Amino acid sequence: MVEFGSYLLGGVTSGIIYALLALALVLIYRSSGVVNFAQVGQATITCYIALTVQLRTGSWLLGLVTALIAGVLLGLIVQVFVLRPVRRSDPAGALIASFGVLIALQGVAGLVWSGEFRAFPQPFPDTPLVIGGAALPFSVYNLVTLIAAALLVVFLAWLFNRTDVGLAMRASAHNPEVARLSGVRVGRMIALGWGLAGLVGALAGVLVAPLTLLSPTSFNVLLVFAFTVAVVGGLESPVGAVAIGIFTGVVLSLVTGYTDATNTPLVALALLVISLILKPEGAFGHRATREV
Amino acid sequence: MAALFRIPGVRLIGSLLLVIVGYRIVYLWINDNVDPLMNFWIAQGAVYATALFGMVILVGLSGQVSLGNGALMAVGGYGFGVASLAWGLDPFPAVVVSVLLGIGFGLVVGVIAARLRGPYLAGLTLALAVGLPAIANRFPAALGGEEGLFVDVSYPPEQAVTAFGVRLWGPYDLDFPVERWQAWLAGALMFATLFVAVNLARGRQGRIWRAARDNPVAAALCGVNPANAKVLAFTVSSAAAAAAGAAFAQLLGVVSPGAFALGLSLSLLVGVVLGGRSSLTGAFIGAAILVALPQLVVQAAGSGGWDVRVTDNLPTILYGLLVVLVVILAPGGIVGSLTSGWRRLRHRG
Repeated sequence: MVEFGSYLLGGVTSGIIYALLALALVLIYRSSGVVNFAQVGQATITCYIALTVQLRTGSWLLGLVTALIAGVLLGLIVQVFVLRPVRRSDPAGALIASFGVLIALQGVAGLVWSGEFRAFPQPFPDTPLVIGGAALPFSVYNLVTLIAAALLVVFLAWLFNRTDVGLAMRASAHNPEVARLSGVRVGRMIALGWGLAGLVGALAGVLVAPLTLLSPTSFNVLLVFAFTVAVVGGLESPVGAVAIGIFTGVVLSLVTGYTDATNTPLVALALLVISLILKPEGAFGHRATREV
Repeated sequence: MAALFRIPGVRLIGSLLLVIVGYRIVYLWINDNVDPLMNFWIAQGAVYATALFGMVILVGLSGQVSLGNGALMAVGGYGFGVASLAWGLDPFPAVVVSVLLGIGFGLVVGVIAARLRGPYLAGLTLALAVGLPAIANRFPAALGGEEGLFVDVSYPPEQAVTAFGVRLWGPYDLDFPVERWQAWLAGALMFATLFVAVNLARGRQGRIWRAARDNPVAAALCGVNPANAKVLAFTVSSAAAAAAGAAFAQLLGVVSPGAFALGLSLSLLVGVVLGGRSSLTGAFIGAAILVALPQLVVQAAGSGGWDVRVTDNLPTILYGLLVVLVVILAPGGIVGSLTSGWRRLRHRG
């Protein structure tokens, strides 16, 4: 039972990270109708930047802040220089371009930081927290992940629901034509969405890095998990991404705990296939209507 | 010439002749006159081209962006490995087994895939590419686990090679380079796949695929079932990938999860996009780029004294940048740009 509890909490932590990455995919899908498969490539680069800053300065927080800024910039660059010029008449083009960016970024990561596996120092104790003599079933690291993710989600909710910029972003995602006619700079709002997604992805990368060894391709499996979460949650629904993210994290953590970590991609694949067969538009999504 | 191809039966017989002449005379003549290393590259290119024919049909003609074809190659590779090791089959019956396996697998995935729109399908195939090779780790006894299955390439054949009792090649001396034999097998599979692909893509089925891709509603009104068209495209591309996987297994001498990693699937996407998404000729060009680019970088590195890190990663970076540039500037790829340029020249003149 003790094991089960720790698997459960470990699962919630990794689930939050999957949820963040899925949230990044959802943000972009809502703003521009594209699934950004380069997201983990961007997260890999920002993670290496965080590692470099942390090793130079010794400060985890400084590394995190640098990574977040780099994440926003990288998101903006990818949107403005790659996705914006892709022709509208080529629906597969945006998808393929995002894979092109993923390949190129992984190459850049290998070129700059080499293909070796690097350990990302764990900045917080990952042992059970002890308060007043009683060992609690979670660590400081779990707590930091939870708080960081919660702060980010609250920030996003505030941004989208309580600010003019958020309203403009929602308007340009919902109906670009009308938004443009009412004076919203739709292109800028889409770019901003990519920047925000870059921020979210960078945070997820820095939080997950201590759990795994960092290499240019080590986040590939995270892309599968994040995509699974985003799809099961319905690609359009931030609430769905968070809920399904935590659920998936717990399931995969139990699978790892009771069987073997190599099973997790298969379980994710099974989850994805079952979900796509039962509800091709996701558990929290709406059935797409087709224009004739 | 194009008009001649429209007479019933001419395409079938013409392409058959083309394939036989292309393989028996041109391809084997080249094989006889180059060194073993070049033959290895030719074999590698033939493996890529075989898989890329399937990608042209799937991504180009049917419009389904797939990242899973590397995993489908794994299905063929493992099918070949098990059929030749556990069941002791000759190479050609073993290839038939792996292609049948690929067809069955493609049918199942294709039925799921046909319901999905672009990003959902890409994500599903991505999950396949990452998850499927991991199955081998689940069955270490039958599939060899992480190290993989060691496929016997005890050719050049000292005995004659037979397919279903008909003598195809050999017997040969012991000094016959093994790379030449590998290039022969890969080439035979490439030309056989080309024959099937040409006849499907250039004919009625090709029109059906294009119609279902460009306007599924209009296609359905003309009596085409878009879902069936998509499933067929997936199945054909899976069969091509399985054939490529069998040749790949023969070429590497081993089938392991690492050989069919996500990178292979991504390479196939790069190849089909660069060559030209809807062009079988483009598949040849894409395959040539996939083989030649890393070699060119290695050569440049040798003369420029570059770090090994540059040599390892520069091809990946170039692939990524080229894909982005081609999608933005020339969505038709190399062949698409050449044909549209040629058309513009002719209409001006």
